[in-house]
Amino acid sequence: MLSGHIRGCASYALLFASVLFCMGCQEEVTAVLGTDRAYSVYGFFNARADTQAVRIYAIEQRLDLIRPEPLDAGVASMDRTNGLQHAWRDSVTQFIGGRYGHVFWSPFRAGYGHSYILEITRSDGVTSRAEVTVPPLSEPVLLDPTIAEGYVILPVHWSEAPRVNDIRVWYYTNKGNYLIEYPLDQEQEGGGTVVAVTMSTDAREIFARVVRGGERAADVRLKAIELFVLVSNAEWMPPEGGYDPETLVEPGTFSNVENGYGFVGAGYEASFYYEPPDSTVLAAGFFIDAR
Amino acid sequence: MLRITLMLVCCGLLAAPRVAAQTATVRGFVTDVASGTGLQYVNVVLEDSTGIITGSATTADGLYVIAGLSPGVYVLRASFVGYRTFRDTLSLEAREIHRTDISLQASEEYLDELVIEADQEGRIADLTAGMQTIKPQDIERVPGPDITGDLGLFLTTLPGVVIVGDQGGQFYVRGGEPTQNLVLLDGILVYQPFHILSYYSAFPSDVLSSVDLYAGGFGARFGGRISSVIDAWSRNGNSQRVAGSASASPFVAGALIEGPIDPSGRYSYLVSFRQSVLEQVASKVIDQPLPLAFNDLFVKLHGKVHRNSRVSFTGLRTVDRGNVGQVSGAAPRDEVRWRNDAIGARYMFLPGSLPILAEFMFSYSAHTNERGPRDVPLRTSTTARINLEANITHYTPFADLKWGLFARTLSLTSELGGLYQELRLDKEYVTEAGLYVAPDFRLNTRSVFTPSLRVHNFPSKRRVYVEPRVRGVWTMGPHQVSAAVGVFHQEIVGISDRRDAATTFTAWSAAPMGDVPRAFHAIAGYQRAFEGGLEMAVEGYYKKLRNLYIAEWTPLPRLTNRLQQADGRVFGLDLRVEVRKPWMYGYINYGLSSVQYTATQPSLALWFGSDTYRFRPGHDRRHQINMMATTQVSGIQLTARWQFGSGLPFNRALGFDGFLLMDGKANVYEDPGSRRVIYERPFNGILPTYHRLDLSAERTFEFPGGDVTVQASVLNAYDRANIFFLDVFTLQRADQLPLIPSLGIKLSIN
Repeated sequence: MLSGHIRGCASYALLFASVLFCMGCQEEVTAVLGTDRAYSVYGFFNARADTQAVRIYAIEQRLDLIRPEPLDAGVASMDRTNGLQHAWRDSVTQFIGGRYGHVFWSPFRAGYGHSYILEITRSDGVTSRAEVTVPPLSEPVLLDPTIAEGYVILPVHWSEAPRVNDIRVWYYTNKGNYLIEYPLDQEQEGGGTVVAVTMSTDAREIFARVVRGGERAADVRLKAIELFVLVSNAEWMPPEGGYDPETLVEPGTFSNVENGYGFVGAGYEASFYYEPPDSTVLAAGFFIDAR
Repeated sequence: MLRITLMLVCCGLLAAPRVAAQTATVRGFVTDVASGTGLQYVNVVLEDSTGIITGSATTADGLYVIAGLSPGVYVLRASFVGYRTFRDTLSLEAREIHRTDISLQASEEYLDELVIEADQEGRIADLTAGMQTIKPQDIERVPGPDITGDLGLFLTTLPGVVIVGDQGGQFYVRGGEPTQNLVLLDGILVYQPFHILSYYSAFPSDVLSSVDLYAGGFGARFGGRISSVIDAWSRNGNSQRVAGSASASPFVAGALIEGPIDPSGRYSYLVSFRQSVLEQVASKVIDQPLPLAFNDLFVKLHGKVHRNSRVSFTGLRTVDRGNVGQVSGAAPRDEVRWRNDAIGARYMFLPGSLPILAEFMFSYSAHTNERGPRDVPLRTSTTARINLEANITHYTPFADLKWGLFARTLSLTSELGGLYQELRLDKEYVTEAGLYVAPDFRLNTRSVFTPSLRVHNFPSKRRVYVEPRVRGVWTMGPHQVSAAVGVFHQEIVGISDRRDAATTFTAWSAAPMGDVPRAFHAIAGYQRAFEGGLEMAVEGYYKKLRNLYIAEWTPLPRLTNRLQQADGRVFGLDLRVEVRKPWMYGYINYGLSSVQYTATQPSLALWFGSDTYRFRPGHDRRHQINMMATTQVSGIQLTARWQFGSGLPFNRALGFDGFLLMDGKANVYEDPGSRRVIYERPFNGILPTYHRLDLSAERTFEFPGGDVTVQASVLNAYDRANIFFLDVFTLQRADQLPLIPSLGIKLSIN
């Protein structure tokens, strides 16, 4: 009887201890759910480069897993215009701070007006893919400028350019060269894109820099201006109209990569060199030497 | 509205003496005869010849005032558990303000009742429109690593209070955030009163007289915060003789000394100091680093300047430092440090010819918060406030008309190293001034209706807030119904990145984006005492929150970010059942809570499909249960406490990749880009449930002139691996403290 009671107590004690043991167990937490998407790709097909290159990130389950070892990715492109295919090779870049980046490259020049398919395939067959069309060769033409005292606008038409990015103007002067970066303001006109160079506004900015540098604005003599743009495919246009990193960093907000993230564009850099006449220079606010 | 308020004040001032002129008032102080300290919550009643009883309970100073008495003969009775009841017969005349000071003597005859009586101890189930009075004895009951209890540990037993981990000292009250709690010690603001190990606060039980916790719906005397008020009052030092105590445990060592300053016993002092030793001792016990350290110093001087006046000076300094979450192999994080400096003076005055209590206070509160290396912190935030206020109570036959004025100036300085770019980084000064009116209309001896109004003006911001509030308690036999509603604003906000549980850095600022956080509270509760020592209380609450400041949602793997505004709503239910038997005491608390924030962030429109998103913030603990039971066996006090909390929301990711800004300038060979988290919707995951059992056994050995108490305790008795946080970037998990056995000893000299 007593031994039965002891056995009963022992059973309860064992049960209690088991419950406590189980309660003390650690429950696992799934913090990363995983995704079917395979890669994030950044870069563009450049019609003026002999080698094409894109940065590729594998979408992984850990943040700190960019390794120097080759990426599990086979990359190939196909020119849909002529059927040519190119294999891309991995290269590893180490940045300041020790992080690595995988740049895939292929030695060919993208053709103006050609369409390309870029495919990145994992060893298990999962593929991310992007399709882009390189814009045709564009020729810049200066349209009728608007010239008034203190107000000069030089509209430049880029023929057959679906869109331009990275707009900037160099002002070449006797005091050095000044770079003015432009917003993405542009208009579509006549099958091309028009960018307006606001010369008078830029002159004031240049004078401010000259004065900050301890020199006199009146000593600046303008020799020429040169407008640079990245002629881009039509899809290379950020949502909301601007390149706000806080917006674009949200996955998928600016992406043309199927089954992945990132953006693959197409384009080339082009420029328009112009030596404005004295009347335009004067109207914009620059000084000229007396003749 | 301002005019109405001023009229109310004037009417109150004029009316009170006129009404009082027809009646008599009895008042005085109740003290402990042995220590000379004021006794709070002593029942003082007057019984007239017809048997009608009028009464009052003493304040933290031991003051009682019974006004509106018809001329006649009364029997005065002052009773308090553990003390001999005081009786006297008074004959009152019209317009008389009668003064009777009472010294109560402790009686062995009644001491046994301490175990079962509730009066001297607070009652867990005594919840009145969100307000609960907490006594030192309640705090000491909760099993912890030390013999001396601590308010921080006690608060974790309350159903509406959530802590996300046992480190960091971050308390969330009924859905409100830590920086939305107003914490006062003797009326002095303490910015961050909880230590880095959340079991501890600046309020050890042996320096406290009582604490009123308003989980919402607080009256107009309190303002500037939108969540809760912790109104702590310290006790006075022993004015009769020197006494003290010293204690030690694997977590903390401390000492307290008190005594008279002058031979007459008019002035007294009390000094308490605690220093953590867990870094040196507890970490060895569990063989795990605990890089957390803190100390606190409390000083109080108290004087009976005059028969009708009291003065006190309170000083508090707390220092904390540590690496929150550096346990279970978590990656080392930047060290965080904070420090509070608070000093204040309080002068209480009872005019001889008027039934008025006047209280004048001056205080200075400073808070410094740093994160990063000690020599070159990455971020610092320093806040200092000077406060002047006057609180007046007119005792009239029908109401205690309370009103007050305040004026404050604040300086706010932050060096945030690129954090919170909307926040001004330069030094900022803010002035505040305002007044409140809060009459307590007595409906019967235990029913009070308190409409109140607070006018809070920020001249430097050109903003005025008018905050109407109402509290009411109706008692009918064993039933009590209470309710509160009110409007609250918070001009000075604490900015934290709550996406990361281990982030305790807080920058204080005037509302950085202009809009001021605002809240509406509604509370309704019912409580009932049953036969046989059983009590229960149930209370529902709702809070509507506007203009909260939260971290903007971003996939960049950084722990800090830009701010955005959010609205929120909180609703919940507290259920408390308390049992008092001659042989045991225990309670069960259940808290149901739901917190939801709604934020609008245009950058999310493409990622989430809408720029407005709703989410449960990281402190939304849906269910919480606390059970505690204590009994005495062979002179040993045995206590067990079990705590359960449903899982907290956390951020889950789909994966990680990188990001290059494709603006045409990026060079894929040279631009390092950013690592990126491909997030799910915010706080869409739920962490595992939290539960823990704490046990303690305590015995006191008395000797002439003092006693020694020994306590053995086990925290987290079944070694539950309760998750503190999960670093979604590294997938490293930090757990809360494991099973920790503790042995504490305390020597007291009475």
